[in-house]
Amino acid sequence: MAKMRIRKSLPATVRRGEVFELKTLVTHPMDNGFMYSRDGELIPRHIIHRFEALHNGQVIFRADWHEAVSTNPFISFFAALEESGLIEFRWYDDDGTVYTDSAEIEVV
Amino acid sequence: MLVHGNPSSCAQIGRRNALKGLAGSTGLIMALSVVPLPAESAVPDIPEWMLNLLSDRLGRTKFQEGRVHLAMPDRADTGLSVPLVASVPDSPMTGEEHVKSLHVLTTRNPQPLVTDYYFTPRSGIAKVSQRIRLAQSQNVFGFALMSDNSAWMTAKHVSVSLGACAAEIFLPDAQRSRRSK
Repeated sequence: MAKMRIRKSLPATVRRGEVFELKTLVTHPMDNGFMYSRDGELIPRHIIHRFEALHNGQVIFRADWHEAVSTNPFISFFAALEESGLIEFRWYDDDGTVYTDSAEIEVV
Repeated sequence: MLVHGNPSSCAQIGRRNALKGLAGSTGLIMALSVVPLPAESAVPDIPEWMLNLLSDRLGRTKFQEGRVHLAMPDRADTGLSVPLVASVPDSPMTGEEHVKSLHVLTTRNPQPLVTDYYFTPRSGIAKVSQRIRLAQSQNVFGFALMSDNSAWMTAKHVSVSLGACAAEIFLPDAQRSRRSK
């Protein structure tokens, strides 16, 4: 499939316990299995069915996505951390692929 | 009273009486308009099949109205990408008291499930923003399960001008292939 492109937006430094926003966008067709191509062929379902955000290996937020999530899924959510570490994002594709991206975040 | 007088008796009605009658009927209209509307729940009833779905997936069907917020436009030009902000803003999100999960369902999509969000105390605030597909004008429901085992819900109606599946999905095969030629 087309090359995945991941965009993320999160602060590099946050205060301890401060609530901050994280945003990610990933390019993906999110074919819902209900649409037909121009040739009249049913396009099989192919979506990202799970998104996870981890902090130092522990899940801080998870989303299960279904057919109604739009193409190129964007998500914005929040976190409040007590210690510095690695923020990791994971997208689980229907075809078994797991796309990942990560960023260091410093808590002061 | 004046209003029921037959046309031939009109001549007998003096100006004074006519004014009296007008004042009386105006008063009546005003009195009617201040009668409070019957108390109505802001949230529509959950359809039977959705209750079954909730019972299967969440293990419960009783939800209190409130606490959950669904911020969506009243009208959407296209159902392909409708902004959704789902939140439970008043939860402190501590270890003892936090939102465990938030579920978004629709009434008239071919697949009613939209998203399930799972929070932890480190989520800071239970608030998520996404773009979703709506096949047609319908109600969107939000259900939240809390760590104290309470459950809350809300609903929002969204009018969609052009559904996410548009013509392509609803046309029989023959018509669809004719269109593509």
